[in-house]
Amino acid sequence: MNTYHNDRLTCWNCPSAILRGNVDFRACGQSMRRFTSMEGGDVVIECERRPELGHFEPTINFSECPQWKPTKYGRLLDNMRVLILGIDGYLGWTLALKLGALGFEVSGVDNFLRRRMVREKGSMSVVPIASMEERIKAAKKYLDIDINFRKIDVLNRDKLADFLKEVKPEVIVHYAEVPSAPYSMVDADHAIFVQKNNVLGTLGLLFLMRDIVPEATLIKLGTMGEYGAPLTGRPLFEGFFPADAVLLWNGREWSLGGEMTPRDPVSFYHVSKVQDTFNVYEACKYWWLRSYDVMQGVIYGVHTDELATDDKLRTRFDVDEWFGTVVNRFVAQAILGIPLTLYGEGEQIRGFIALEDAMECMVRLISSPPEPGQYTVVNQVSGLYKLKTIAKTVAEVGAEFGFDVKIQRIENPRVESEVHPLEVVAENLPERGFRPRVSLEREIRRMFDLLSRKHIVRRLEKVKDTIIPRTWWSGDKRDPKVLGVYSPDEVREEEGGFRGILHMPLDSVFVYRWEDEEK
Amino acid sequence: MNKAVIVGLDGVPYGLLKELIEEDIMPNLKDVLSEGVFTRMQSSIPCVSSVSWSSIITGRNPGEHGVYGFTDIIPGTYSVSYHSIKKLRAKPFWIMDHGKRYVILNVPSTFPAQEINGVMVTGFVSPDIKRSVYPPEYLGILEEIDYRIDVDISLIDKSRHAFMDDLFQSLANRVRLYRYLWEKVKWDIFMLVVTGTDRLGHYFWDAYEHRGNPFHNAFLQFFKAVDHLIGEIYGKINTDTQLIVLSDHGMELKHINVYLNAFLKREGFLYIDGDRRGLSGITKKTQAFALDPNRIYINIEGRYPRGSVKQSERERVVEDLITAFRDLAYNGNKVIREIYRREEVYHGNYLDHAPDLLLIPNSGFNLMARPEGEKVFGVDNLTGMHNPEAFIYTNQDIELDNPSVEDVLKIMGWKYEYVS
Amino acid sequence: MIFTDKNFQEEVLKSPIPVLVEFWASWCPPCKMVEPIIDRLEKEYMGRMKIGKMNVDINPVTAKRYNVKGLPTFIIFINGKIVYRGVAAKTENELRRVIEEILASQDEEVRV
Repeated sequence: MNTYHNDRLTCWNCPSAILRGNVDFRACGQSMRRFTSMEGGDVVIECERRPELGHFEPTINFSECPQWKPTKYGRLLDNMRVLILGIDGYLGWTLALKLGALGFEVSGVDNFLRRRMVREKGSMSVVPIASMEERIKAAKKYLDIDINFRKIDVLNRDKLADFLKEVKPEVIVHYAEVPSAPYSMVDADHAIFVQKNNVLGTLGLLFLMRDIVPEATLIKLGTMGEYGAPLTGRPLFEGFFPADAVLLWNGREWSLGGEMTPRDPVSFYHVSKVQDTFNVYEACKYWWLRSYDVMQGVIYGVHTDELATDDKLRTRFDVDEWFGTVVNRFVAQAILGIPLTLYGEGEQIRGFIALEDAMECMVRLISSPPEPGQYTVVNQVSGLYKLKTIAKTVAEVGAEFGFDVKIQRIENPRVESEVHPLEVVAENLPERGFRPRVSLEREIRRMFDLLSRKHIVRRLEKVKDTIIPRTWWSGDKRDPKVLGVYSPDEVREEEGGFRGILHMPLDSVFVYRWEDEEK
Repeated sequence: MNKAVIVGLDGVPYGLLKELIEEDIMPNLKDVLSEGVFTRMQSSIPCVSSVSWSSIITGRNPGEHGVYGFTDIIPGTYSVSYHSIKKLRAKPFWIMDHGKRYVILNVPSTFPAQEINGVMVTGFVSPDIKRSVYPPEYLGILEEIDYRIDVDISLIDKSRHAFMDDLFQSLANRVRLYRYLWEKVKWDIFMLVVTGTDRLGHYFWDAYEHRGNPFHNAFLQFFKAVDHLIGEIYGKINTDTQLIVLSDHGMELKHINVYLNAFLKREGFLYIDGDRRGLSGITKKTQAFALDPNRIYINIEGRYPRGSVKQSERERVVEDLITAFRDLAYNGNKVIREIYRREEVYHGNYLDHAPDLLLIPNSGFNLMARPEGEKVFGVDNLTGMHNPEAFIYTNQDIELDNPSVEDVLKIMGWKYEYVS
Repeated sequence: MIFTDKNFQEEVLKSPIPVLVEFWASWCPPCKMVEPIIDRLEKEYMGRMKIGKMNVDINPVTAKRYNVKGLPTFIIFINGKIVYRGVAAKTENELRRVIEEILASQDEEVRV
């Protein structure tokens, strides 16, 4: 018998377990104990999916429950109801197809804000994407996936409440936030809009979850940028200090175990994510909601098996200075003949993850629902790289495709340290069976392969002028000065320079060896 | 058509009523008994409320109604689920005949309340008051009179006095509800069960047996209150109304608890991994385990997640268990009086879910499953334990020959049928 | 070891050796952080001190009886009596020190 990472989770983790009214949580007034009596004060629950069980002990393992079916990603809840907020976006659409293909009941919400914002900035998705209506048809046609879509702004709580009541999601993946640092730094209107959309959207959602789906898991997208990059080199733990971390002061010592680690966001957008972190954390504490707060590294790439099934199924791909992430923009620049732009020294170290790996992470998290009240931070990266290493890699892979790629250093429009150490702890995902499978080179190859197709190159030409950053953290709006242009072989790691250190234990026993199965 | 009233007194043995009548504690009941038949009634096996009330309301034995205790193992797991009326495989009388109007008040193990032609308020165990009442508009009156389905058992740890007060208060509130429903609802059959008698018996049986006990008088007072209730009902009914008074099982003085799973562990039949709760930690080495109060299940391969006993080995394990339980003794006294195989005591379509063995203890030995711990014998603050000696009274002029709980519907002149 | 309302009497109060109970809940990050330490200490002190966890949400009776208000709460019982009570996360060193002190005083008692 195979061993799955989530075999030993129990009803206590399962979103089908009806806890409200059954479990007497810390004086929160949910209990009706006055009227009831289980011999010996037993905690018993009911199961939404198996009402015939009546009241029972919440001790059934996933491996013993017929509702949790084995898959290559561990056990998954049969026809699990997922609601993706921001389903029209780069990640949302990709995840919708991935989960749909795995047999989830997929519902989604979007207000097409991303399309509007990109248009506002004079750009567009360089990979053509159809209207939601056509996307849904294509998903049905090519992958036999039914998607229950509703056009809703997450800030519209009444509409969202109705949809939550209709769908009764067992997991909510929340991608419905503005994902751009530069966009939040354009001016006061943009900063206020980003914070309002992100912070208040999430805050309202938390109240709705409390009232409508308290047993669902909220998988909330944060960013590694919430932590910043401390110059001391202090490791970036997963949100909280481990128990052996101590505060030493005045000759005395305290455990910092379980205290939130400091956050040092690097833009008003990042601040909105930090505020979300606190709001979600508090809601879990107050109302026994459960959440994974995903500190996603810089995402890049174009590929999942589902997206590649047909051109009509592709997800969006942005390369402009506001919504293009760095690797994605580098590949676009390489194709367009624009030297890859390093900000300042180019020595910044970041965590990265390919789109396909990020999607597997989401499935792993969905397959491991937290316990009531559990708020867990997940560092979602598969490697740490210096930006100049990234530029060099893109240039090298570009050469394979016949592109002569140069690299340029430009003035840094952001306020950030350009030379710094970075040490990241990422244990929670490997514990849930995740292994990075996509190398940087492999995904960059797939990107060149797709983006160098004629119709996409034509679209790239159209948005060429939106790539170079003109949004300064200072408020300036101007082209940055070029500090130097290099060929890739001139870019070298300096002796004794900082290197990213990633703690990612990959020897967990709970790994189902799906590679073996594929052979 | 004649009306019928059924008054249940949970956990009251025939002998106790005899004594209380002789001592003039229950003069109203004495009056009632002056006509009709009053006799011992055999409880179910096991003699616990969930099983015996299920037999009473369906006229069926557990092999037919499928209820073998308060808890069951959920198929494919070692987790236990609590009884719910949805698990009852035979129809209770209020489902058989929709033509009659019913008030069904506080019958144990009827949660969640069913949609019936009339009013239903379920008895213990009812984990959610909102689903204990049908139709739901009666919830308001329950709240108004501060109705409690059960006493607050946790009070016993704090104060026996407070617990006794709660017993009286719960009875008083239940009487209020019955009076309200009696007047407000049109009914043909009114069934009311007093469950405080069972709680009283469990925690105060010693007080009953010892005159010097500070709670002796309170015990008698409680039965005086029950007697008053019976008298009140008797006074309200016409002579052509059928009246049944009955209990589901009896009660007797407990000497010691016998923890069957600890015994099975000691004898090498049961192995539990301490990192999981209760029976869910059962390991593959296990041959048998127990469920409350006296049910022994063989860890059959295929039936349980870590089942290891092959069908071909079952008989040997059964024999080994019988030998082991026969030898189980406390201070030289044999604990087990009889051991039944399931086919000896049950018949019907649901034998598959039945325990493999059923143990009948000698007087004073209270059998409990309890997966935790290693000690086989122990005590707790309960002084009364169930025994099979129930009673039945009917005001009809009929002969009753050694009746059992399965005969109650027959005694009432009901035909019964399976759930389709 | 997992302590529950049901096995508390047997496994903790009647234990022949001292017992350290960590009261925890899934909504308490410090509890999560202490978990690996508790597991480690449990193995290390096996036979000398019984060490385990008790979830206060699943076992409300015991948590209420011992007035557990802050989490994690560490209580050490000897013969059913509380000999140590500490609230909030502790480092492994701190926990070790507490355990060693209790075990040392135990040994002393035996000698006396």
